[in-house]
Amino acid sequence: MYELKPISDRVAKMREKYRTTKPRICIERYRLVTEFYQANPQLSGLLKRALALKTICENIPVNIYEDEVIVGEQGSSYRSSALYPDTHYIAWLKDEAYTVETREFDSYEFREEDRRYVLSTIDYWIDEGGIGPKCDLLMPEFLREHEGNGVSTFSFKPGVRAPIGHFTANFRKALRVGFGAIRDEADAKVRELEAQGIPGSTIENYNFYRAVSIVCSALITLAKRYAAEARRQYEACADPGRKRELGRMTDTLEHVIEKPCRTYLDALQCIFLYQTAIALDGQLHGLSYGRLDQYLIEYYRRDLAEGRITPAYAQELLDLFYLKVAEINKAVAMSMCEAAPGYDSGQLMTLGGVDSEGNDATNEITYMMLQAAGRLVLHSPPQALRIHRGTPDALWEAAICTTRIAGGVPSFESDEAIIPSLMARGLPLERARDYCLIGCVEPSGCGDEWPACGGNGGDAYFNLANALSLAINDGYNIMPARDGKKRDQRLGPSTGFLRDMKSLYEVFEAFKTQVAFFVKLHVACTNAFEYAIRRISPLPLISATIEGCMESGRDVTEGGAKYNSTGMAGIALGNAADSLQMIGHLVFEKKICTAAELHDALINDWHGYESLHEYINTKAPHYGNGDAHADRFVRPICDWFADCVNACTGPRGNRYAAGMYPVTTNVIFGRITPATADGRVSGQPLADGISPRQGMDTEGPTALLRSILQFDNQHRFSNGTLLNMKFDPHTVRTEEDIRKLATLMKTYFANGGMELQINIVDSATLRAAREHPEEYRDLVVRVAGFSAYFVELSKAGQADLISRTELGL
Amino acid sequence: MTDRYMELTAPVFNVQTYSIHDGPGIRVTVFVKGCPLRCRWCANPESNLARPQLMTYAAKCTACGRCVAACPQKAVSIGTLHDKPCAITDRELCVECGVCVDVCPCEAREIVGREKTVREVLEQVLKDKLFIDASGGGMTVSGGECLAHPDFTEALLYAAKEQGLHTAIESSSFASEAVFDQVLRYVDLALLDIKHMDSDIHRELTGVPNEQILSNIRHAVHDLKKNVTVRVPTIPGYNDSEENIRATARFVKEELGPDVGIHLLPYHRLGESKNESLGKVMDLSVSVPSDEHMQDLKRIVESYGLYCQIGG
Repeated sequence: MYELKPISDRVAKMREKYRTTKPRICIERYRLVTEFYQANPQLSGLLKRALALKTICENIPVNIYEDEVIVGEQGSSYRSSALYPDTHYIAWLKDEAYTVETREFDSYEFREEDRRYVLSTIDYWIDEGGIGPKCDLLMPEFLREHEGNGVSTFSFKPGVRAPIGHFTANFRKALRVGFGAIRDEADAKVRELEAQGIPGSTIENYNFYRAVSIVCSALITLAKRYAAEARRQYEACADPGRKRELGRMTDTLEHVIEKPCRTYLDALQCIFLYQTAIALDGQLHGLSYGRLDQYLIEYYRRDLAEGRITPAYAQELLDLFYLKVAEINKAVAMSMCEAAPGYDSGQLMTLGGVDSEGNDATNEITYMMLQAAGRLVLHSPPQALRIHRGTPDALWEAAICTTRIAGGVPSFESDEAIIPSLMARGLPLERARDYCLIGCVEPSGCGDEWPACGGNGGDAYFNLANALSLAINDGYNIMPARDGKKRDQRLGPSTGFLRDMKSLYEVFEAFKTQVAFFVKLHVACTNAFEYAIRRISPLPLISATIEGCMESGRDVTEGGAKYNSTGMAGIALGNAADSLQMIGHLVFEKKICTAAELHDALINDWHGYESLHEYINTKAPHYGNGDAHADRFVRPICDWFADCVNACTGPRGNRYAAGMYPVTTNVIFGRITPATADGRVSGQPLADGISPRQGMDTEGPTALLRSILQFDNQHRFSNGTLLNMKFDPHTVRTEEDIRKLATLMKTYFANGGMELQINIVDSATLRAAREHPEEYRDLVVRVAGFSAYFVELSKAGQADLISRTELGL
Repeated sequence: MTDRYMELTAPVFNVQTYSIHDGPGIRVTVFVKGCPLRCRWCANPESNLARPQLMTYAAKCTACGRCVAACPQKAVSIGTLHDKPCAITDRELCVECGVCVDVCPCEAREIVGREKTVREVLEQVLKDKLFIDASGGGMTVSGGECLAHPDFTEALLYAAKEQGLHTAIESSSFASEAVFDQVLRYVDLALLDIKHMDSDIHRELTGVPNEQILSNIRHAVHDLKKNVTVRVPTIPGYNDSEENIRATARFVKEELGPDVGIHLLPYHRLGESKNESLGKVMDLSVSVPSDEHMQDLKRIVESYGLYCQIGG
């Protein structure tokens, strides 16, 4: 049976520090960028961003805390969050300046003098310097006629718009080449272009290389500053053991970033420091690590062979690395934490899978990563395990045992579905085989693609349930506006009212019309947004490593990467598919009610139609129970959505990539979605992942998977799909049980399933944790695309999780 | 057999998918209703009678009173259960017609058990063939007591074998040898209970003696050459004494052979709430055995050189 080795005392101590330190808002970065932006209004674009990062790297406090070996910070104290007013929506902090310390979840310490400074300067960011006002100017004008449609959430209000984020840097290049050599290459290009007279449009390339040179130097400066701090502590240290370690750290920090890594410790430190700088650059949003086990293995094996390291020490270093990753967090608006609560920063790691030749790539680090997740019981970093036919049984067992302890870590991703999906969007076979996962469940090339796979942060989602609601309401959104007023303006195409529809075919055609229309609208806004981002926040720090940029002389935001795509995720598939078949069942097949009655019931949120509502909830067939007739709309909806999305072109000449996952937006999008014909009440959460409405799948896991497998065109969803399953712990106890669960999952993947993540916890435990949070401090659960400490979830998030069907005996 | 066997029926109260503790692989377990035994700890009391029965779930009841109004027998009234208002059914008056089930808005009432044909059940089982085949699983017939419906069970097992499924039964072995032979003909694995080795105590606990049971188990191994696993539902205070476990292990080793394994199934409390749902009181006060105790018993069985596992 799989066993967890105990953690070292030092790791235990650091973990406790992590779990008991309340995050704090640190304004060091905020102050640096505010002063820099206000002093340099003449600068723009690449050079502005490069020089801003230079200022940050030269001045941000560098701290090395007791017992730390891997170092890097966002702020001036342990577990502090920086502020990113230059790249993120910041107005929220004006509203929450006094409540952020006490809000229901993800609360932050915010010192009075810091608050004063922020409040005295924040209007600059809200009115001119920040991202919101600049983006709004560039949004397509025709959006005004459709704002508030509830399908696509783009609007002119400077909402919670975040930058694109959601990518993985090319860590292999950072490790193997180093930023000294990249800077030299950029400088050489600069001189070359100067010698040519910077002809024609090469001025763009010229500025790009200048910016790359600046950010490489800035990053090297940051590393040297940490090295100096390590040396200072080394000289002052009296403990011989720690002194030796500080000596090694000094040596590592002097060397890495600038030069190629030599050792396993070098590699871990280089990865973390590069990630630290990317976050400091303002991109902390689904920043992922790519295939960590594949990068680290060569250094680990060499150190082991040459006697520099023991497996136990290597594991301890990996544990410490994980604790540093977990420490990074970003203070965001209350409304945003609700979608991803628990101080989550979505720094996904990928492990397992095949190598570029198609052979199993599992190695010692793969197992060490699972050990770290299992024995530290951390909700972050999330991990995505790539599965293929040749995945060793031992890895299956380790992964299922880990997910049992660390609630949903890792998630399981199928190479057999994802590799072809990436090839369909343009990656060649050997690159597709090297894919990694980004953010939550989004596949991407590893270091060679600019995937924009979270679309545009908060606006990446497409609400299929509301598309159906508009379809049967002639394009009107029947949900009142925020001020409670009825919306008088038609917001989508006119497709008639349900009461007048004569066949299910007509309903579905109306739905398709709405989807096609809003995909176009959504793409127009996304493209306009990306155009804005290119101007406001180009990314020379990422472009320095991502394959294709140095070759082409273009930033990733300009399409410099070798491969490009943009993601768009459908949500509420379960509600849409179930509602369509339910309309068929109620109105056209069994004639339980007329179209007019059902229409009125939906408009009135079931009031006055209680017996119909009851019938739907207790007697009618539902999606998710292995009943092919009830499941029949899944495939056509998915096909239509993929047709519409994958046909669109992004601003880098790239193809769009359809996805089907809500993460936790099913809760917040539920609030703006009226009653749905599957029996869901207005305002309730939408269906989770690609599952049916909560609690409607009553026939067990095999029936659910049979239904889900009606969605057998998942390979057309290269932006990812997400299936959450919750199992009763009694069904996952023995080795035999684990093998059987593995077989269940393998069967899903063998038949086209793309992604699966499981919670092995019973509802009784979750209820108890809700009542007595103090006793369940370390209960980690899978929420959607990420895991969280259950007690740190919002009340609504907790309720949603409890309401999901528990599968088992 | 002619195709008529597909139309044979029995009262079936559950077709359980992702059944992972009733034989190898991922299985579908078919539960038939009706049992000649009355084990005092029965985990499936709804399976005792061969006819459909009304079950009520107090936790789901909102005391809305619709069942009270609908009941043609006037058997339902609003009372108090577990300190909350709840529809209470007078089982003396109730004829289990199911009218109240149709009007209940909260799924707090249910008629369990329905006559189903072999064809119907098989169709349900085969829906999971994808998972059965991938896992080396199959179909298990459980109960109630499948021997109480020999024609149906035999036909269902035959039909499953026709489809290439591995078959298993879970049974008390309480039936005549002729019936036992009939049902076991198409069985690949027989999971057979031994509830107590002392026939008098066996009768006291289950209502029937054990001679026929033990004889049938011997017969299954030696004459029918079936793959048999002996299961001991382990009920603290009733059959979990070292003496009884030793006697069981001895019987298995000496009379069945060292290749027959034993599963010790720790008592669980699922049956208790089901009794309440059936309007019955459970005549048993017993706690769930501790893990340590189960491990001790397992070691005892293993000391006889037998394979033993805790749980199915």
